Amino acid sequence: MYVLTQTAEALNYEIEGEDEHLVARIRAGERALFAQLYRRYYTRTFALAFGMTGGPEEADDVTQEIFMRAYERLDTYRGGSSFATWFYRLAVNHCLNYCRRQRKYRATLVNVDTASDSPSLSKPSAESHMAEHLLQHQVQAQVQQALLSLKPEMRVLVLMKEMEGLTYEEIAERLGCSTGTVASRLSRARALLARKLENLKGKI
Amino acid sequence: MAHKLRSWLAELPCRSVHRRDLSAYMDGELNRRARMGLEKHLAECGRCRAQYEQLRFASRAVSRLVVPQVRPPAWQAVAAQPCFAQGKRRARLESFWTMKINVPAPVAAAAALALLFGLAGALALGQLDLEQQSIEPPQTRALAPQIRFVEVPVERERIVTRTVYATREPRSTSRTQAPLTVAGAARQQRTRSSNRELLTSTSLAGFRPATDARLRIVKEPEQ
Repeated sequence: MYVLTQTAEALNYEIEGEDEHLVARIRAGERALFAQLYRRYYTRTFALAFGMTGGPEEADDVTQEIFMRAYERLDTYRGGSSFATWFYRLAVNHCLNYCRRQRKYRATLVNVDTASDSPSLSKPSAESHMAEHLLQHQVQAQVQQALLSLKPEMRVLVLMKEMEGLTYEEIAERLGCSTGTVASRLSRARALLARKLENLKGKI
Repeated sequence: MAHKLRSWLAELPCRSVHRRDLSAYMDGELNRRARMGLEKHLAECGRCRAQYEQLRFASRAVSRLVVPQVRPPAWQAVAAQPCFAQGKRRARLESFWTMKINVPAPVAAAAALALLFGLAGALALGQLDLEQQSIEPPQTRALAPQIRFVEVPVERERIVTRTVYATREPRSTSRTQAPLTVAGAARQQRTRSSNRELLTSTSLAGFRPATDARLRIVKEPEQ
């Protein structure tokens, strides 16, 4: 486990124009090169899918579906925007569709609740370590629960801002809405989250 | 009383226009002018300061969310999955079965109401039509010959069937003739020497239900 924001910074390997060049070669017939794109974008895509679905198994499934979709639709990429933008938009749309389809944001709430009460957590290894672990787990579970209780459209905004660190303009471009909409929805989402996480004040 | 009012007012959220910019201010998305205005307001308004802290807290909490570290499966393995080969077909099928039509609630409600009224209207019209049909046939058939005369010679007896429909005849003719009843018609028949007469002048004065004006079978035993 690791903090996502750190990885997002560590994954800063996007060199200007390199993805587009790779895509051009793939479209020219070197289909095996898609594996490189897959390796580059997997972690970020998985993080987004995990934030949106709330479970590692679902996130894995969704990530693979996203890549399959991208592979199939690579010919539709016209180069109007950067490949990263195109791919991210596709990933976000797929995650939103998945959430709407599965109503996962409701179902996973139960999973998070049950996970926080699971007996495996109460196994003591060392007193202090256990307390710290438990606190971390509780915080994690509550944050995830609060996030999953948001509407998918709001949740994806929060994830894009807090995890990916995108600007309002980038988010608006990827979601196809105005920066004003991004600002107002993000503000509302944060206010809702703060209300839901009231009891964690002082622990974070 | 004044104290209560003050505390109640203190609990109300600030109605300043700057309040909605707090989130954007936190993300550094405000222009210089808006930022300065907001900073000035924050220095004065405790409620907005509290709200700003709330937003920062929410942001901090989400950034603490940890994602399980996963090793990406090899692309070859992903591409080799049977579902990948049928990806397009599967996606198409999925999109068909899980297809949703997003219609705004007011539009959907209006459409449902229109459908309901349409159905009700169609039913009502249909009923009206049926009622009219049950009344109208005698009137529409009034244009048909007034008297149908059928003679079926039988060895021992004659069966004469005459049918008179209710009709609206010109006043001049209807006034001169007496109303035709079953008994009257039978009497008329008996007095006639020939059974081949066509009762052209026989009609009803005004409108009468067809059931009253219909002559049924008249049997005359052979003399």
